[in-house]
Amino acid sequence: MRSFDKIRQRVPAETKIYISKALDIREQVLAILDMKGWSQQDFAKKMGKSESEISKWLSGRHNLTIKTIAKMEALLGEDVLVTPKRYGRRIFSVDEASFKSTSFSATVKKTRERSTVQAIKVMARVTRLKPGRGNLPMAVS
Amino acid sequence: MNLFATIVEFERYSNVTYYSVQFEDSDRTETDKFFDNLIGLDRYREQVDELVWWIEEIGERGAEYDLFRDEQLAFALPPKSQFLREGDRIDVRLYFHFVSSNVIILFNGGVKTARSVQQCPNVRPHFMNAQIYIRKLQEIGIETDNNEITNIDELYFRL
Repeated sequence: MRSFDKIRQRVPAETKIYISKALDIREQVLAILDMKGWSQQDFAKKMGKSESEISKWLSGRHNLTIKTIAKMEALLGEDVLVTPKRYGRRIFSVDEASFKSTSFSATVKKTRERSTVQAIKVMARVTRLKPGRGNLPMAVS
Repeated sequence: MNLFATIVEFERYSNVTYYSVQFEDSDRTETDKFFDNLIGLDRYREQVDELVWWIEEIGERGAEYDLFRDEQLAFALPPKSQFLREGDRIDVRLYFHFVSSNVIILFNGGVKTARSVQQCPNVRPHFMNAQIYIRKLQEIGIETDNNEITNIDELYFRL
């Protein structure tokens, strides 16, 4: 077996989650900025921060606190972090069958290439749900 | 040196195919050599594990060049320090050619022990080689279709 594969097998779950979350948060904020037509500079100005600070926030170098995420969410008017409880596990069980269906999975796969925000909207359309708190499935990324 | 080098597929993910360089006198790619050299170094275990997982995650999501370290013609993994946890010191470098968001050619690298690449005997040769490989490949021209190099048979060069 190649060393690369051996290392891949030994990577701790914590490391996998950290890298995945760092990229999730980055993608989510960039997608919201894109949706709003804001540059990182605009965002920085509205947050009253320097562009480099925002760049740090968006990158993962900064160990983001819940408070910082809350500030971002308040300004953006969108969720950056989504927890299963908030978005209702019941929706997942109701739509579990459709989530597993080929067409739905294909839709999810396609939408992964777009922003998470856009993906959530598409998923809501597919599952015939109206976007809004408490009725959206969350597991897109 | 006058060795013949080819490009071979290294690893394929949903959104990125990674390739590597292999010389005629070797049964391993340059990237395999990199991981073979680092797998047993306990001191760098965490960094190497993270590097492999960055490759995996980026492979699944697609590559964005602004994530990576700019190394003249090449780029390097792991991502720039700004994408890593505060206070982390990252010494491991793996050089690569960013062909597109879906195609990356990984080279070799090592543990950077000096402030600048030029002063580091470990990574300097790999940094220099990366520049040479990219120049050679650019002279030939890499053709891609989504996450695939379509003219891989034409991508060979002598060093």
